[in-house]
Amino acid sequence: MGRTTPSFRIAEAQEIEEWRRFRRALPKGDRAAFDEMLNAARLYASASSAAVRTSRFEGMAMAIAFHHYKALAGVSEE
Amino acid sequence: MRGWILDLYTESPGKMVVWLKLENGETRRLVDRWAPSIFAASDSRQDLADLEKGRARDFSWSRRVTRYERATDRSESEVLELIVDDAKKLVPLAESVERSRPFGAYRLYNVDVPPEQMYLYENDLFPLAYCEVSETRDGLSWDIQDDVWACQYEVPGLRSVEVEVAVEKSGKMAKVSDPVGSISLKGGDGSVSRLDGGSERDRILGLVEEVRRLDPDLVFTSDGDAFVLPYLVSRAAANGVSERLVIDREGGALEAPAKKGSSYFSYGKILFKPSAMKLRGRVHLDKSSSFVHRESGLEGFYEVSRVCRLPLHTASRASIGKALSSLQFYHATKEGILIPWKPVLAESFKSRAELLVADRGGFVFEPELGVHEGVGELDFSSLYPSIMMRKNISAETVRCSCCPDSANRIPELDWNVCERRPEGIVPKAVKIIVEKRMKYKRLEEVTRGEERARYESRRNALKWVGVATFGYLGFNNAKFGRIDAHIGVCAWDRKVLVDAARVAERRGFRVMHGIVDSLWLKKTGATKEDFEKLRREIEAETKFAISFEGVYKWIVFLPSKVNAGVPVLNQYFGAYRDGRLKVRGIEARRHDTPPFFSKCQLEILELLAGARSVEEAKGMVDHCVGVFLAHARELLEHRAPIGGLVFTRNLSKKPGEYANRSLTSSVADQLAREGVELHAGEAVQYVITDYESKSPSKRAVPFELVDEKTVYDAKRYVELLAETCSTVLKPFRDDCSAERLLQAVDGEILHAGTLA
Repeated sequence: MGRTTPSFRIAEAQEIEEWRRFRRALPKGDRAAFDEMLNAARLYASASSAAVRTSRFEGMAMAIAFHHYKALAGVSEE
Repeated sequence: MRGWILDLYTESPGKMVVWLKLENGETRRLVDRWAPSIFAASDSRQDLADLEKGRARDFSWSRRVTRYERATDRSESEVLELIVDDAKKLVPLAESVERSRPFGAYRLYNVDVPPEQMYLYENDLFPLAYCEVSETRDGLSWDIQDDVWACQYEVPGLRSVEVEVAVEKSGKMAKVSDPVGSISLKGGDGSVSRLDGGSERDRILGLVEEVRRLDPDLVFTSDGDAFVLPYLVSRAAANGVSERLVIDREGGALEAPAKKGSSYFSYGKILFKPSAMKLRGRVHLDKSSSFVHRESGLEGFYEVSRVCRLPLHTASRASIGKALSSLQFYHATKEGILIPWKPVLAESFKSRAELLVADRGGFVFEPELGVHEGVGELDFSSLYPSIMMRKNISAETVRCSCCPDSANRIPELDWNVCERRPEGIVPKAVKIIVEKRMKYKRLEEVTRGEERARYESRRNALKWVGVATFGYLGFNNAKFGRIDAHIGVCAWDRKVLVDAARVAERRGFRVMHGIVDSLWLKKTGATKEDFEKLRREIEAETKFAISFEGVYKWIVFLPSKVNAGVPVLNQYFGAYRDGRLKVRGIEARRHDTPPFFSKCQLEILELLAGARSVEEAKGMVDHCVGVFLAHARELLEHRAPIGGLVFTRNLSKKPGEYANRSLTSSVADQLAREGVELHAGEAVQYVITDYESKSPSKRAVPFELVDEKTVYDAKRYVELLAETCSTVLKPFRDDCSAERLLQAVDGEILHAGTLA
């Protein structure tokens, strides 16, 4: 018994790992920005988990979009 | 006669021996006529009739009785009870019955419940229960004058002795072939007798004589199961006095166990458990294999034994899961429910979509990284056990077939929970744990000194059993576990934690972190009274008890060591306004950290706990770096005690099975070369001697082989110490990375300056 599906945090780490080849194809200077963007998804892991989507990428994409929206809103307010 | 139940075990044919501790301090051996039994069920009447014919050969007698075969059954059914005079034949009988037909033709019950426990359940007894007992023609007649629910019970004065055996080592490590050097016996009254004269044979027989003279009820050893007692058995044999090595009350010679023990997997770790060496009529308590004694002392050990109805010998070695199982077996037996040999409650079918919704853990609010001021902590008390108890969550109640329209439903999943059985086996078992913990907590508030410490130990022991209740719901070997019940508890947890957070937000608090049953909240200018008011509101809204732990002067939520911007759950430390420190998940809390490192990290934290605000704490960092430098200097000048530099690691494999050359594997190999037999799951301890060495055996040395010539690798220890100190300093000042701390060590030695 125990858990059948991985927790969202684990699933997310797997998804990030699967984008490794995308990352390798990026210019060296872009890789840190890419890592930072993916790590932003981790800040909303609980919300992505609560959303329960069949594709783990959906939860991550929403988290990244939302994080960027917040950042943009902050910038435009300034 | 009246007294307390001390020990019990079966005796063939068909007897249960019970040792009673009388009020005058004497012990009495009583014998009851009682034989254990197993139960068999089958859909075929013919199969059951065939089984009955095996009488005399396999079992003593049989009878048809009615019982609830499964916890989910709504009516009793006819089963065959097979009574066996010799408890050792229970499992072989079950195995032969199972093999006699295709798998599943016979369903077997109560096979692997230890007979002593079943005797206690059937007679409503428990260890250390105060009873009046009379011997009749039919056996013993018990009149229990004690209550398992009582918190202020009397424990009889038990005579104890601690046995220590020193080996006359021929090499660096003690071997079974080495003779006994000396034996010392420390009595609970402070008396010490030491046997070191004469021959080895004299010393062994001296031990027998001393134990006979002292007649202890409790015999303490360190590593008695794995080494001391098997070693004495082997030395007695070498001296031709095997038959005279009698240290139990039964008068039988001590024998080595048939099996040395077993390795098992628990929570991501391989662990090893040696076979128990029981001393019939006394209680042998091996301090190194007793979790409950280590965590909560003798009082906690007695409490678990009483509440879970586990004989003292068993309770001292039992995992908390085993203790909890016993409590569930008791309630099942009382209700006429049979205990399956092989658990049969399967997980209900779920579609992929349903599984994704259902199969999730408790709720977590990601922590806000960094140092915060004025954060308050609220903790739900025994949340998971309370959910099971209040929402009736048990293997047989969640998604029962009898009440699909039940009003008691699991949130998010909309699963029904049984209403016809208002209290399932798990909630029943959990109730005594939750309620007694609360009673002890209240008693602690109105008592002091020794009495208060006693209640605290008992409450602490029950806390561990409470912790196991949840895991056991989803554990595949648990007799009354079922993943659907486990999922149900998590779903309730998520609802309760999120509801609580919403109440807090409505009151203007910000959620700084939340994990499963704890919330860290912040609101500018919030007083203790504001938090107390919020606590009451959350309780009213969620209907679950929550306690206010206090307000932190400062608290740190740590980032991941790999991704600096990503928070990790469960790693934080902080100082409450009353000066108390709370430290979770960092080095000082980990059992594998060398004590010298933990000491240094805690010293720094205690300094920081003196600060009244984050600003003040930041101002103390230089002082803290000084603590690090003092410890680093101690290391570099080889003044650090070598015992404080020991790393402890559990072996995940047998020595020789390791593919890569880690420090742990090299240490295991060195021990194996010295003739030490190691199993996966046993812990090894080592000191790093030359971390960079090309030869693996020079990198670290097992602690057992450390002598006055051993020189530790000071450079490596300073590097590791810098990492440990950086964990607690970097959040306060960004330049306190491990690298910068190391530079400070170089600077300090060269220029006697501190970190800039």
